[in-house]
Amino acid sequence: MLNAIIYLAALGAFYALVYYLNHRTPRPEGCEEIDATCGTCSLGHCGNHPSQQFTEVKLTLKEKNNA
Amino acid sequence: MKSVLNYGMSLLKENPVFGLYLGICSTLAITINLNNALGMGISVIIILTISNVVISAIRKITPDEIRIPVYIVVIATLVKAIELLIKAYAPAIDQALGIFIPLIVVNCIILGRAEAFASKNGVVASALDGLNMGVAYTMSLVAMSLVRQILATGIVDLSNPFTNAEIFSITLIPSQYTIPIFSGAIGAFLTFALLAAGISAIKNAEEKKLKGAK
Amino acid sequence: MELFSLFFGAVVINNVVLTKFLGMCPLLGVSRKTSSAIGMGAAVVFVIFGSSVFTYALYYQVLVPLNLQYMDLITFILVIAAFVQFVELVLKKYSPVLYKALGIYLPLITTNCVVLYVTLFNITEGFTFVEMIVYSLAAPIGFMLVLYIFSTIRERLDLADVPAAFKGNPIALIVAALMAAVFTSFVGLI
Repeated sequence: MLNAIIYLAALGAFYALVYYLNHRTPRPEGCEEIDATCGTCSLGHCGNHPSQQFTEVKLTLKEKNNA
Repeated sequence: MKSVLNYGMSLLKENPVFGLYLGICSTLAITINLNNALGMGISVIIILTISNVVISAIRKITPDEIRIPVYIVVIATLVKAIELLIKAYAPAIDQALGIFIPLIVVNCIILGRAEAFASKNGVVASALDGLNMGVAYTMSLVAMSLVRQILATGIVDLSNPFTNAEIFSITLIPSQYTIPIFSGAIGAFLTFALLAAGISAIKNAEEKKLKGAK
Repeated sequence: MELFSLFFGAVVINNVVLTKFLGMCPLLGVSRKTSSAIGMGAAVVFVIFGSSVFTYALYYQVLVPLNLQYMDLITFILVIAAFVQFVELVLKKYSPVLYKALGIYLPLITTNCVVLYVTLFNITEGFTFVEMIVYSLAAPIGFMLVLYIFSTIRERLDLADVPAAFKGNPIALIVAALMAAVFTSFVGLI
């Protein structure tokens, strides 16, 4: 039983670490707005959904829409 | 009565399966008869409600950057627990649904509702929302499985999953007039397409009425 | 089991999309343009192959000796999700060209039914290591094949004159029904 909890905690921590590292690295130049070309489905947890982007990208898209 | 009618109309128009096309992998695969549909539907209702409650309860203490890993761990634990319970107490459902019970983890509805609703609202509201979505999903499954079962075998039957006793069995179409392809892949896609087109037609009619009234 | 019949069976006869109804979300969502279909297919092949190898190794080297087989579902989904994040991280840092082509599909693959299905199937069928490699390459190739054919049909369907109720996904599902009918004719070929 203790084995299972330690194993689950280790695996969860590893995934959280990789997710956080990925979330922190910015996209390479030229790719900041590729999610604007998607928009196929309404999955909120998809990394391309507007609710998941960095705030600067959100602002630039909003400015583009308003202009 | 009017509120029931309103609820029914909102189920039709905001349907997660036929309107938003979420969770369609299991819809197409398991809706062969009413037993499967109810078994899967009730499992999804339980998992959706409990996961909404848990995620809403811990929403204040999860760091914002690692929300998604936390949600996935919670949902996966719940699904495994339900799968083990089903294997122990209702083996008929386990044999019928097979590998689709573990695949509830990647059902778009559960993670989608957790992200969109439970992470921002209180526990009771999230529980009610989970119940609502689960009931809508179950009704879509039941509708599709009724169509497929009646057209393919002519018999509607239901049996108790815990004891395998039959609850009822009604023969609606005599067996010479049944269309067996509806229990296979072709029938699944066809039924789904026709039901989705029906709901889309209802939505279009409503929009026309609204535009005409303006 | 012969390796070639396993490969051919997984690609054509027991195709994951048309006979087992998995991967329907990308099929309806990503198949509007042929280029995105190829991108999605390539990403899925890579992710399924990588995560199959890792989950197979993890199951037989860690879970079975520790007697924790009931943790398989949680392990697999966490490994798949971590692998997808890792691949996206590597692409962002070292290959902007590949990221531009495949990057948008990677987050969508985490909740793809096919990935979890293949990793679970490798365990429940008790494949040996070589059989696992063959199957985890064949199943996503079958997925990519169906996705590609579907996208070529759908590009033309979007320009056709479809009744209003059927526009978009319903007519695409009827096309999928016809494709399923065609693919069932392969049963019993080998």
